[in-house]
Amino acid sequence: MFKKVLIANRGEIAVRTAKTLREMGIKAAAVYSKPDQDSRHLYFADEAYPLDGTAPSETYLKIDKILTIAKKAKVDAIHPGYGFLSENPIFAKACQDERIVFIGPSAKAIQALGNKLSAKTLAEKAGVPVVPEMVWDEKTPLKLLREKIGYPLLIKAAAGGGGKGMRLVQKEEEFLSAAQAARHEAESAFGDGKIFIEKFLLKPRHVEFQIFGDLHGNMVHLFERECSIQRRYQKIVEESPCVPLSPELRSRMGNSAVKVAKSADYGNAGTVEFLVDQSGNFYFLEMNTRLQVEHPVTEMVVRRDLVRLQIQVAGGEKLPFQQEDLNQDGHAFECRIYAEDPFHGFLPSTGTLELFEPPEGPNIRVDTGVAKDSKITVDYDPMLAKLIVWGNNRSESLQKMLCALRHFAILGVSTNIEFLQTLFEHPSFQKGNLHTQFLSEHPIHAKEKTVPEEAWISAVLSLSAAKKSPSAKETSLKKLSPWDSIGSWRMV
Amino acid sequence: MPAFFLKSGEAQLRVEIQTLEGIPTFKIGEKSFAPSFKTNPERSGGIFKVEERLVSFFFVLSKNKINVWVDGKIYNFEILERKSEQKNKVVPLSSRQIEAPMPGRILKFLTKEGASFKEGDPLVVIESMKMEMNLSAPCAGKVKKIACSENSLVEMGEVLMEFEQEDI
Repeated sequence: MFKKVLIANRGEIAVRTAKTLREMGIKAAAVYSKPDQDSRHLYFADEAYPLDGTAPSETYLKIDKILTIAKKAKVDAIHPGYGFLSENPIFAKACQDERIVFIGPSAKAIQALGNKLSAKTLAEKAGVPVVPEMVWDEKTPLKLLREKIGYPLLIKAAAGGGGKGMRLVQKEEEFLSAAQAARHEAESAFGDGKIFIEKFLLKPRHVEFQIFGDLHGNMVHLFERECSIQRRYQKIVEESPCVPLSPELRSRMGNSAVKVAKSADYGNAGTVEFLVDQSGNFYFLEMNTRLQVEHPVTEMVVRRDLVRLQIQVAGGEKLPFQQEDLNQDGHAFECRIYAEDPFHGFLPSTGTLELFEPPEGPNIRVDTGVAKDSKITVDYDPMLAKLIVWGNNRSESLQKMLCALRHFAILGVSTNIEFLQTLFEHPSFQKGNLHTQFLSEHPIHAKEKTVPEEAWISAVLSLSAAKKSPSAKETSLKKLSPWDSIGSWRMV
Repeated sequence: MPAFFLKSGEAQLRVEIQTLEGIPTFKIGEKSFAPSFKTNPERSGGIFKVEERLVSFFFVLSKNKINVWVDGKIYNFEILERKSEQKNKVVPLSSRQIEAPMPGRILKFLTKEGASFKEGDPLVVIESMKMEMNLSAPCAGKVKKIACSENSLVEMGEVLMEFEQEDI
């Protein structure tokens, strides 16, 4: 097994990966950009190396810098996390050339399955249904688009994921300007402006299957995750299992996912994404050739540590189970806690985390790369934490999530926590009537909040701490004399 | 006896604090309270008891603002020395501006000073946390002034460009 692994990432996934490495007795080496020099992921690493610079393109995306550090630190392997270099076949190949194990699939498999267009071809060849689509460039006649795909349609970046470079176009008149914007966004996010066009399905569910392969030809799926609740094409809530999937459909989709992955001799963790329409037809959407943000919901229901499995498999071990050994136990939800204002177009919010108090309790898990006093800047993704809960069934798990959201206190930046509370209270969400356009069909507005008595009292009492509170920067009320004599401690 | 006003959204209440026989008592609006309480400035938290009910809260103070977290919800208060009267700002229709809707980096201006544009024309491209956004003209007009440079970092609400509305 490996002695030392470099984590080529930041934030919560770097923290989460370092924890598993330590459990396995493997040393964790971290890298960090300038804004990350005091970030939480460094506190969980055994060694830390600076990547001079701020922008991702100068730091976490810079292959030669990462490899130079990897060689200097004499690591056996690199864990890429998600995002950044995790789906970059050039990086996977460069690791291989340096005789450093890339903890993920081979460069060849990434190339075959990570590219959306070639992945669809492979899926079709394997007999798995796909959504109609075509490549686009400035020379493609609009008439061809109209006939082959039809409106509404989706524009997507060929090289990436995470909603970057993606646009929904309702009418032909809007197409050209949307295509240009998408191309530019794809270029700056992935360095590749290639885009393609896809048919837009009405109210489908987004259901994805976790697959796992080893280097000995074994491949299993670890069931599904339902990720229909999205904003700006980015997932915000994920759950497992997807309740309306019949055991028959689940097994058919799982087998399809395994077939797609096997067609490219895939080894390590991957996710095969499908859209499922209202009649239960499913279409292959794309494959993510890496660990997903939402992998913890699978970990909760199959009771396995997927990062540990990734490391074992990359180290040449056989998968420790076969398909028949795997079961789904109970129900898990994940909420992505973002620094954003959900009631004003989900615009990102920046600032310092003056307060960060995550919920605790049995079967509640918080994966985070931030802590109190962390600075949330425009440089990186606005995700603050992932809140994951497990219950015996969906309704128990849902109640636990609601409760956990109500106990998650963050001050200093706006977050989507109250938005998520309202979502989990929504009757259609509680019934499980989910689809990818759920949030546009049921827009969640800021609740008219009448300020309760408790809030007024809290505000007045917080002034009693004005003098001593480190967060009380030049409070204009230092002259409130009665509090002076009392101080901030009094019996309850 | 110190008195001030707390404002949250549209609501404004007068607050009076005093010590009666060593016990801090306060009046918020018309109601009086003398809760048992404990605050912990290190943790920015506190707990109090009203009518046998325990309430825990978190707070952040800065200048004349108080942000309070109670029971999963966040409330923002402003401390005022005297009651504020709501005034409507007068903005002349002939002079308008484009403001940054989020903190971010200005990628590009799609127009220049003196240039005319139609309603809905994209004017500025701003990027934040890898999300790109076009800011479009709210009405037809002419660019009066470009207030920042491309590639600069801007705060939310910062004025990016001033323009004159086209005469109707």
